Amino acid sequence: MKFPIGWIAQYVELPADEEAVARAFTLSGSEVEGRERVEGETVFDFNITVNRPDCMNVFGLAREASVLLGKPLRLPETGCVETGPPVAGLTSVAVEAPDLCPRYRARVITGLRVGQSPAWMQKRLIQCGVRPINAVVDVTNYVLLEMGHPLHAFDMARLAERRVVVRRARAGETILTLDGVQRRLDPARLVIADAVRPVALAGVMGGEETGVTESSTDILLEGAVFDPVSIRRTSKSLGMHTDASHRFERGVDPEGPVAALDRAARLILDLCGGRLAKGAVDFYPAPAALPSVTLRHARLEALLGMRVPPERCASILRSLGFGLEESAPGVWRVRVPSFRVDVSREADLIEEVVRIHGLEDLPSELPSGVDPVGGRTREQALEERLRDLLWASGCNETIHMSMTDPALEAAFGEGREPARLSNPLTPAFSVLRTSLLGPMAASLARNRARGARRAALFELGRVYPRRDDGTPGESFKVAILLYADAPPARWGSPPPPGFLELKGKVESILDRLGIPASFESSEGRPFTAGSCLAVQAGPVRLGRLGALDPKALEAAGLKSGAAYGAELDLKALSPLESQPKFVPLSRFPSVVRDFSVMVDKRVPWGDLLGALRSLPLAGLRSVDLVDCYEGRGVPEGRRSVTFSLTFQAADRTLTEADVAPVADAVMGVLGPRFGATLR
Amino acid sequence: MHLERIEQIRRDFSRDVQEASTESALLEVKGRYAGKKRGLLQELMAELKTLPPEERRAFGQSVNALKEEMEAAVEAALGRIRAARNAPPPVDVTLPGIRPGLGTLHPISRVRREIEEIFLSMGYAVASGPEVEDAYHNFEALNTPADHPSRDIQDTFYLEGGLLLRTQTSPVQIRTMEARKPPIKIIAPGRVFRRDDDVSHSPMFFQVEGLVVDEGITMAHLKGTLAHFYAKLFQKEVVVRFRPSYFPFTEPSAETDLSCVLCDGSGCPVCKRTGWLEVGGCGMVDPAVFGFVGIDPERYTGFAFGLGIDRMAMLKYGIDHIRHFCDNDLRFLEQF
Repeated sequence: MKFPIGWIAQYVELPADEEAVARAFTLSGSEVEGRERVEGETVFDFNITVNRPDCMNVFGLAREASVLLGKPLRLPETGCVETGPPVAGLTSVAVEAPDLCPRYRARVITGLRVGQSPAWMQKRLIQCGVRPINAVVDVTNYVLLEMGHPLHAFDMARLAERRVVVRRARAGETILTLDGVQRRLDPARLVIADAVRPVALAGVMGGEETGVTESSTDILLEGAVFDPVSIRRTSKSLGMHTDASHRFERGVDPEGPVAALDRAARLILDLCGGRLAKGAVDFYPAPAALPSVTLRHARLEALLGMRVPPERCASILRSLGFGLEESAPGVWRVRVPSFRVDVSREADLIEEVVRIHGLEDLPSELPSGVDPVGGRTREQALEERLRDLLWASGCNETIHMSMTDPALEAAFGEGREPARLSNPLTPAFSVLRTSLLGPMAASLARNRARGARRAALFELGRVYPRRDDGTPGESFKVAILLYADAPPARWGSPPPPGFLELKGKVESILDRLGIPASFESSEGRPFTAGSCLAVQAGPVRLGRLGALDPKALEAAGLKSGAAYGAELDLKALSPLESQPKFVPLSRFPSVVRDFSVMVDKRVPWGDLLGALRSLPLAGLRSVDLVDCYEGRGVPEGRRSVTFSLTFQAADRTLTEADVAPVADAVMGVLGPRFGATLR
Repeated sequence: MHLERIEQIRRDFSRDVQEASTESALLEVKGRYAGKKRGLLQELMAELKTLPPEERRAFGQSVNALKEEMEAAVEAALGRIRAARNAPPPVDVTLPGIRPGLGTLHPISRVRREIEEIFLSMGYAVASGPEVEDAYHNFEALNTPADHPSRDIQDTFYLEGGLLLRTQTSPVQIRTMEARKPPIKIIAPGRVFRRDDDVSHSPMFFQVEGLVVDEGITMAHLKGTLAHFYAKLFQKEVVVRFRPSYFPFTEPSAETDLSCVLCDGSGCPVCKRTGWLEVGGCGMVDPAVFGFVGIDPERYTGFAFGLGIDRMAMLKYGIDHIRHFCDNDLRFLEQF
């Protein structure tokens, strides 16, 4: 919000050092975000927080400055001469929605000549970013900027019956607002109407037809208080945000209309002549009593952890306009001035003292004490362990947006309709992902476009599958994505990753976590049929892995290269993670017997392994695959499988006699069942 | 004449040892010359008897000296041959090493961990909560009522059906206070979402918020905690400054300024020449918030603070644009 320092300086003496002025404001809650020269003077751009509407004007800032700099505050000149007839004879105001309009005050000026406002006023308006229109409209804007209370002027000749009604709109009513837009009105909207139709959107914008122009001669000046929620709803639903609505939303001083109308009247009489009617119409049936708040000095010091002498507290509050009296030793009863709509509790008063006193002397201490729950949760610790295992295994961690493109989600997701944002920034990020692999594949495509031909990625993050009631749930997943597109060989590069490299990563990670996992064939999006495994821990599904379907990759923008992905569920993994359990080392040497068999190449290794493991071979410790070979020396349609059996007894050294029957037992099963022959 | 013979034997031996390239050849040479049974030296010693008595002593000493020389030479040659045999094949040692291919942690994860470690060491617990939130936990219970301009401070993503993507991790603080009573000392790191997209804002980014609630917690504790934290995070002495501000859920509220960690306060482009970095908001928990979670504000007080992990990572590593974090360019990821 822009205000020229020169204008503020009309109400309080400011030092020449603009830097010092900016700093004083900034350190007390009215941050000066920027500075520019407009019409030859310095204009500060203030960032005034939502809770301080009293600072959203020149006089309010001057009031702050007078407290911060210890200088006296001058008051705007509001004296005006009433030469006209009593106002009650000229107009009337009926407020039919007192819940939305607790106060409506109006003055009338007749016989004026509306011209252009003088250069000095136009300069002030321009410096604050407001466009000059004509003298009357400019005065209302000027007073809004100067004193913070929104005013509106009506051309009385255009008001049917020269009077005003404050009411809700009726069904079917419309209004042409000053911005030239014809608006249909909802019956919830508060309007200012004349005897016939709405003439203004209360607190937001006036109507085109009753606006003051250079041909107006009689005007009604409105200064009112409107319910903040109603103004906000109107403003939002019509997409209209004005200087007036901005202030009403945040809360205006209920006493504000008095001085503001007088000030405006004075200026208008000066600039346009005319006669000011005696008195003001003032609908104000229930003046709010000024709140009284108790402030305990001990509480202030205890909350801050800093000493602030009681005299200092009191002087700060008084200088800000609060009335204090000591109701008990160290306890004040504080009267809050009407322009401080943000102060109603002890905590608010403490904040007032703090921001003026400053926090430079605030000591720096560490609280003792430890959270009784403390540390990380089991699942958080598992996440971090997974991250470490994954980056150590050669993968780069990625972090993708939770929001994704619907087409990508359709290619990689679980199939149900994803949760949708109702106000996305772009369609490319308009649904919530149900798989990590989709976004990972998409950024893989971007990387490929930048020249990458190889990637090993991992990610830990949430996915948001839609629940039965339509709301998005949250599941925590860990995903791995391996990619290669015939890369140029580089010194020391490992060979391009394939299905088995992915499977190997998953196997070794689960192994390291102590999770006994098995693999079953599976299928489904986004994996290629026949190249998908479900990762199981008994009946518990941990996740799936496989070769990614080229159609899915294409949806992600990847048109060449092979990709392999795995996605596991963290919640399923967490309870299965186990500590190592020591197995005593055998004192006795093991015996290893290798076998090379020729078998039909369609026989999966898993079947051979299963058969070997089921043999009742005493002392068999492990079956290990040594090699699988097809090609030279192997007949068409068959492959050579070499494996070793390791035997060890816990209580003695095994002898040849113990191990001799093994060969027969092995071929006795592999031969008949799989047609395997010994090489 | 005999001495000549000794010299000749010495020369022959030397040559033969040089030429012996294997262990067995060497041992054969040793046997031939210094062997106990049939070595040349043995034969030589046998001739001692034929010498005149006055020459015997000198002769004997020369032969013995030669014998010791030979044995030493053979040992040395044996040592060389064995070492060479065990040595790896010659390699161009300037070639790049063959790397096992370690991957990388995302810089956000790195910085988040560092931040968590600092707070864990101060006795905090790490709390987490849903990313898809309801308006009550994200706004109302944080003293941000519906139809109030304070809701405009952050632009929110809404989901069809009325839920929203959390705009801050403060809902986790509310849920923690709903679940248990003080003492509470938590940080809540996590992703948050705001409908913002420009040079320094991303629609999704990472925050850490902290909450301490106990008897006797003061704003001085807040300052001490943040000063300690930032000094540890940036590994240097820093100055923390509070600038009074406004948040709906704290009163008093402050913006935390940190002395610029890049120029130490002298002024640079990163701190826009002010010497200060705005790092996040903080304040004493507003009693209204305690009201929503059923904590007695007369007995307990608390402080809360927030900071952006993306921002900290950009400061620590000199990253120039927030977009890099979710872009996942391999050339970016591999730098960490």
